[in-house]
Amino acid sequence: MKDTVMHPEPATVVDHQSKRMLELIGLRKSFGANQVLKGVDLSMNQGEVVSIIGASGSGKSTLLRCINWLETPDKGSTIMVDGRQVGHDDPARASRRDLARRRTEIGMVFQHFNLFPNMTAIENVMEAPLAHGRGTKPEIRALAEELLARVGLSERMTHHPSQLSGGQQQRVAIARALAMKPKLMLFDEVTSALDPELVDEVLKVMKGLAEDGMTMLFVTHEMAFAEDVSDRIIFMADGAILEEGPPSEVLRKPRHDRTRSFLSRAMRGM
Amino acid sequence: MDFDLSVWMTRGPYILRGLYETLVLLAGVLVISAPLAVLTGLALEARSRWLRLPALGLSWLIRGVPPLIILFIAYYVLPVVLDIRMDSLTAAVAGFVLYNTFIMGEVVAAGLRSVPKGQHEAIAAAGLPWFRSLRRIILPQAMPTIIPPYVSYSMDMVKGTALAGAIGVTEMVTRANQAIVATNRPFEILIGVAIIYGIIDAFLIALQMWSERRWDHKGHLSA
Amino acid sequence: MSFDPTLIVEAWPQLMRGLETTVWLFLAVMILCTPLSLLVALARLSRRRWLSRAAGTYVNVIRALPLLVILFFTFYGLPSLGIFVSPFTAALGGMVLVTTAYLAEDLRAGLMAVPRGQFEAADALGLPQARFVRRVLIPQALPIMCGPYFTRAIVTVKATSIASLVAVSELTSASMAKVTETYRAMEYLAFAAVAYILLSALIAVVQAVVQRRVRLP
Repeated sequence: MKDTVMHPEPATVVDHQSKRMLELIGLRKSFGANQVLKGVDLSMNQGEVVSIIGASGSGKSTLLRCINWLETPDKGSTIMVDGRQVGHDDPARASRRDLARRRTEIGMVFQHFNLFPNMTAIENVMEAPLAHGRGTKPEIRALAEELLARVGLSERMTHHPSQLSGGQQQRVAIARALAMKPKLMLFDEVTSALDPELVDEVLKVMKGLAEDGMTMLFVTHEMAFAEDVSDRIIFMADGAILEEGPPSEVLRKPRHDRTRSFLSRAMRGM
Repeated sequence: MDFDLSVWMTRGPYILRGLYETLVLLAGVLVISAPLAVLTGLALEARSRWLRLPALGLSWLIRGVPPLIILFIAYYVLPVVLDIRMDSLTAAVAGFVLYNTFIMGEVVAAGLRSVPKGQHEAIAAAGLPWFRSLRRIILPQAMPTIIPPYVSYSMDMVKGTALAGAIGVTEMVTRANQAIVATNRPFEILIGVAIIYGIIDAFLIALQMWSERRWDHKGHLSA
Repeated sequence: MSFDPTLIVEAWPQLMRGLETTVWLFLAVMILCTPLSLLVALARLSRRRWLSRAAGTYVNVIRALPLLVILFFTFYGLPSLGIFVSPFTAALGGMVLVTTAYLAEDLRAGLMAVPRGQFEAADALGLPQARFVRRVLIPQALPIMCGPYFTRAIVTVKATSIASLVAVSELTSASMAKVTETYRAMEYLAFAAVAYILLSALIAVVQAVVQRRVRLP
């Protein structure tokens, strides 16, 4: 493929901390006349954990959804995952089949879980690897069991989503995304739809993932969690990145007034 | 196969005259069955079991029988039972009215069910007279729910009129059938008939859009 | 005026043969229409513009026409194209053409009722489209489509009576043959009406059984 020629994978063993896992160049997205993302540049190294914060309507969810092309970016936007482009500069020329393959490298967890209600927990986890022929059925089952154990749901494998709590459903959804062994994980406000007492079990699983070296990008309202796990915090406003840096700076010593006023509202009660 | 539309020059006027029967039938059925359908809808939703259960049973029976059989019953059985003479057009109107009243009655009943219970309670609390509140409060709110299926069943009715030929009403499709037998030009004749039905359908769709706008507006005002 | 049930008893074999033809016609229509209408419904939802347009045109043109006109097309039209088939086959073809269009609309509504999040989750997992349709979309749409599907089946069983107007000897035709033969209408028409009601009731029973089976867990 042409892209691979242009961006060859380094043949030698590289320092993991410096390998580029995600690179966004001039990402724009408009809905009709309304421009939601106004040219975002962002890069993430392997193993890095980044949280995006910002008011609703700032474009943070749209940014996340553009990375795996759930929203089609505007013409001229470039999205690179692990050194290869996702989709195409010109949306009209993106191939569905190629997109489907690239999306398997990008795990995504949604606010409303979006589990398949007609399948059990383990069937949900097995579905994508089966579809892509990632091994024999027993192998995939073993992998799914291992993942469900990792999110603490060994006892619930044959339950249907309707028989699980919100927190349990979200943990299944995380296991489902991990089953494709993604290079990058996207989390779109994954605790916003949960009852407060169920939030911690999900955050714990995500923290474990971060500690294992997964490259993760969060959109979140959980400021304490963001501070705890993130290497870097990004504050977005009006479809652009206004401020970014380590949590100790962005959350504790923000440079912009807008960041400060957002944080004073978001951190109230913390 | 050759395609020769000139058959419409010779047979067209005869076929088109059938539009008269088609439209008389349609208008007769829709006009007569509309008030009957409202009464049926009210009976289907009535609190009194003596009204509701017979209405439900009758509706279920009538809607289980093909319209064609109902037409045959209206033409062959009804005059005997009532001991009157009935021409085929009258029998067709009678048969279709019977069928349509219950089809539309169910539509009206669904519309009445769609009005929030609080409205009924408010009417009862205010002590408003039944008929007046039905006409001024309940039905206007039920209209947005009633109109789309009402129009779509009316379109079914337009198409259903073609069946009246089976009891001797010389409506358009019957005449087309005769012309096909006489000329052996089925495609030319049927395509022409299809276009005419398309025009009637387009007219009804326009009517639906117009009435939906009108009633939607009112529905929102009162909601 | 009196009701003479012995007339029905005497005509029993003919009426039963008619009923049998009605049932076969109905079953054949439904068996052919079910996969076809699903394909048409999926085509209408397709991202390929030409495909959804073609399917939409087919559905809307057919639904604008009386079934009888379509049956005339297959009954008179096919022979004039040099294709000679029995009246049963001609009626079957016409009814499949019509029922597929209506059923496709019923099924499309069911497919569209599946939440958007399911499409997004499948996209994010990179599920191939065919697998998504088979494993996620249809299983979830099934309980929603069930009601409209069987309602359409009841409409269809009643519509088979129209095949009597294009020389198919089914239930309505057999009953009317006795009416013209004996000049007695009430008995035979009552028999036909009851038979159709029972067929509709039978479909409703099947619906209740199926509906319990396809419920989501």
